[in-house]
Amino acid sequence: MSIEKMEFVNISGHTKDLNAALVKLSECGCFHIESASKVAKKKSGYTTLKEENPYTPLLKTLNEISARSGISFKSMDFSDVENDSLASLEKYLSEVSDTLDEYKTAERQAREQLSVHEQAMYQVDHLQGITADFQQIFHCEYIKIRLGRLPADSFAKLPFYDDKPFFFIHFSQEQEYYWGMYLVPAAYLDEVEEIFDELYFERTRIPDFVHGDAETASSELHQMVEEDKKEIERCVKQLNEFMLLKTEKLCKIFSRLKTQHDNFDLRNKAAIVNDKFCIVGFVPRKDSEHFAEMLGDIESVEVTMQHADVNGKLPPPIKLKDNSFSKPFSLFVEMYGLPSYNGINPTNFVAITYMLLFGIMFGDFGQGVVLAIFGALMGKFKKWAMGPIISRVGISAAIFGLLFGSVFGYEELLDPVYERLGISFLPIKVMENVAPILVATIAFGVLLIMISILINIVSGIKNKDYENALFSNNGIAGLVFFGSILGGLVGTLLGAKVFSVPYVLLLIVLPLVLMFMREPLACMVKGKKYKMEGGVVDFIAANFFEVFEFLLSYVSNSLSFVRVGGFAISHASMMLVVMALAKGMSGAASPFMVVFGNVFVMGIEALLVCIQAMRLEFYELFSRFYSGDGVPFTPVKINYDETIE
Amino acid sequence: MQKKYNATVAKIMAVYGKRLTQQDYTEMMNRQSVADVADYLKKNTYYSRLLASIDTNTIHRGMLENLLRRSVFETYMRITGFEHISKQQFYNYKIIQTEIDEILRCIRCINAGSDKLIQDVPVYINHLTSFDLLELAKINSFSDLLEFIRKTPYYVVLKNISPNEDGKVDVTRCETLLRNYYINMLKETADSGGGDAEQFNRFLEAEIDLINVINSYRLTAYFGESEEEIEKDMLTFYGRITAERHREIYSAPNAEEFIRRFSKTYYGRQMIRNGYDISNIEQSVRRLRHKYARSVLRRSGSAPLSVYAFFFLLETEVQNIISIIEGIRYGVESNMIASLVIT
Repeated sequence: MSIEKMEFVNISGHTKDLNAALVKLSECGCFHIESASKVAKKKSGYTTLKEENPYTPLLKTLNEISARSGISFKSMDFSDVENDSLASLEKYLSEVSDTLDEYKTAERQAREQLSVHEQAMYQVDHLQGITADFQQIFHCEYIKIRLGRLPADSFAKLPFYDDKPFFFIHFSQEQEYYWGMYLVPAAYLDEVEEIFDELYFERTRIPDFVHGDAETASSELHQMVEEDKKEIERCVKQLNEFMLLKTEKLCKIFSRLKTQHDNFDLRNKAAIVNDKFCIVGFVPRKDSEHFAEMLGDIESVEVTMQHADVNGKLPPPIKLKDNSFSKPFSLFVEMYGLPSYNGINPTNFVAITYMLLFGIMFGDFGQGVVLAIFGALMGKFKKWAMGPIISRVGISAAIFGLLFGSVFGYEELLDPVYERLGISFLPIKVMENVAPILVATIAFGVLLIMISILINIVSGIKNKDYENALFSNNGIAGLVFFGSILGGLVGTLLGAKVFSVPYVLLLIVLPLVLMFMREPLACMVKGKKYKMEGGVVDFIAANFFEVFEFLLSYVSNSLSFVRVGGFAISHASMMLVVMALAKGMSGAASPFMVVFGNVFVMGIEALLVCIQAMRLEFYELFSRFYSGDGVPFTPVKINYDETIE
Repeated sequence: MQKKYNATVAKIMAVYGKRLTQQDYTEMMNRQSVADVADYLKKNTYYSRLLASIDTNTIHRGMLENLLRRSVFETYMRITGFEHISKQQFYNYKIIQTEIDEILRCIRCINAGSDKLIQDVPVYINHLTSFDLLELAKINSFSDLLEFIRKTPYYVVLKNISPNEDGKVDVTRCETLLRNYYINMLKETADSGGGDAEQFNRFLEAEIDLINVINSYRLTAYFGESEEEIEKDMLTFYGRITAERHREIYSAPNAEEFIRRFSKTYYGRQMIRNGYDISNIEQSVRRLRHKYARSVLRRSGSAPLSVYAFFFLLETEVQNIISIIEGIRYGVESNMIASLVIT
């Protein structure tokens, strides 16, 4: 798996053919466009097109129709409407919009009517108990009646007004309110109304259309509400039927307009000189021939292909070459950033190391298989990008589970199998080999770090970045230093006397000096003169601290991998707890505990291990060889999902 | 060993985390009506539960204010009920505070000959108070009031107060006596709060200092009271500003000189350092008190201090909303409203 090779393309032709060329470009699906003004020379007197897109207003109308009708338009073959004039399309859309307005207005009015009736019903329902006709109540001459609701706090204060000439009768109670009415002699109305105002009484005005007593009125209102609902349903049905008839044509119009709109937008990328246009961009090398042939159909258009990095101003875009095994892991690579054009695609490296790291940390055969099935199903049916990754790391976890002899937390289940097979060194019991596992994972980490440094050296040499490849902490100097220290330590532990004077001077001190002097040395290799900025003292101080930081990073990065062993142990420990809890439970509850424990551990550990493995990849490994500053390859195409506001 | 009530402190921090932000205040200030503000509170803030059953379109401003005040009390009940700290004498301070406020409102109504006390009586607290607040609202003379509170500690505090010839009572004097009683109660019971009583007392002393400053400023600037009169109305507790220093400040001949003298005190310097407009001393004192409360709530893990500071901040928040509501109701410009909001 590597990076797709690109060709730099220069397309030129008569401006009359510009639109035709742009249509072809958006159809081909393999052209990454760049603004021609970035490469055109100012002396050539080029101009760029700054035109208002004529398709935008109609697309906005379509968008409004879509928003109001709730129908989203999809791309369709639009040959039926291809030759219709914009004016006729505008007229058609306007007619649809007007009719839609009529239906929507009718629906809105019906809803408003429903709201009024529901509000009245809500009020009247709270006044059940009034047996007199509402209209008669409101027309009493000597007694005035006010209906409404009183806050519960205020209701408690009514006894304070015992000496005032009114009665408050409540019919129902809500959380915060008492619904009811107060009766007051007409002569005292103002005084009592003032009291009730101070008590925050909310008066209900019964609409004129409400007749009879509360029960009759309620029944009538319920009927009205039902009729309103039916009316709304009828309006909605009418609108849906209308839209059903129009949707197909609207989709065709939308597809045509969106295609023309997006193609028109591309005109801004072209440079115009006299009556000629120029478009630049990139095409994958494998598609270049087909691409040139396709554009060759247009009479005045000429296509020139050049090496991708011919133009220093435009870095070639990155398209990762896929293989089915590691393809899902490109998600992580893209998350960090794409490699540079001449860089190394780390997806395979990530796929292998991520699976190994996850497998070690999550080693359980049963849980690994479950995870693999879960990931595969989520990837297939839910199109979840993490699904295929989960599926692969699940398989890795299952393999390490076999090595650790762990199946759903049962650590002895595979023992007889290995005995029968005569394999004495398996299974590796995690809880019985804590120290060896921790040491082994650090060793594994060291190996990964050294591989990362090697990748960086290859990449540096390929890109002629000699400072990085030869003298940096991630270059040959760093590799020799790190390898020598480790080799020396291992040798000493095994009883050999490794740290002799020449060994120390050549393999430890010399690389350190090279790292310290990396900038002037790199200049020397390139044949350039090194200019020291800030004087000798600054140079020494800055490089001293940088080299010191390099040394620290070797130690901290290596020790960071101890977490891999740590998580393997923690996984086994958590399952041990689950098994102990299950054992302590009654016969019937025990299987539930095992299942629940497994699900819990799987959920929490899978999440933690995913994050930890990703952290190791990004922080300990990627930082040594990967910058992630590549530009993604985005071929020109019509975006039917984009909304024009 | 006295229990520390750490869970209550944690609970307070969790509740405090939901407080209104500057953006919430800005959003509310940009609203056109009280109904809009109520609607914003209902849909976007933790007041949604309080306003769930309220029709924000028809809600009366006064009722909304009462509801907001009630929400403070409901939070108080929730916090003090969490570890049953309300059993500790200290944590009844809000009930006592409410009782004192209601007695003072009653005295003001007696002086004004008004029967409007009933309107804003917090009936939701009535089951916890040592006297019936609804009955209190019916009182229309000071002698009746004394009789009414005879069996409460407030009787001893107020018994020596006698009405003037016109039947009016010196409210400021009553307030000073009752506040002194309240502060004394806080100091004496702080030990029962399960936290560092000394730390609480230090915070309280700063509060008292600032209350004394603002009281003496009002008496100097608005009423032109004499030194002797002001001295009588001072709370009898002191912190960083001693009684002598206070006297030196309020002996100022006018408001400008008062502020100049005050600006040299610890609190004055703090205000200047924080960029407050010291000429607007009332607002600056409110801001400084708010700042202190926020600071102790963040730093202190002590339950009494956390509870006290938290409810101070919560009351400030409610006061901010009320300022916004009143500002909108009376068409005050939004920058003027913004200056009243303390964050």
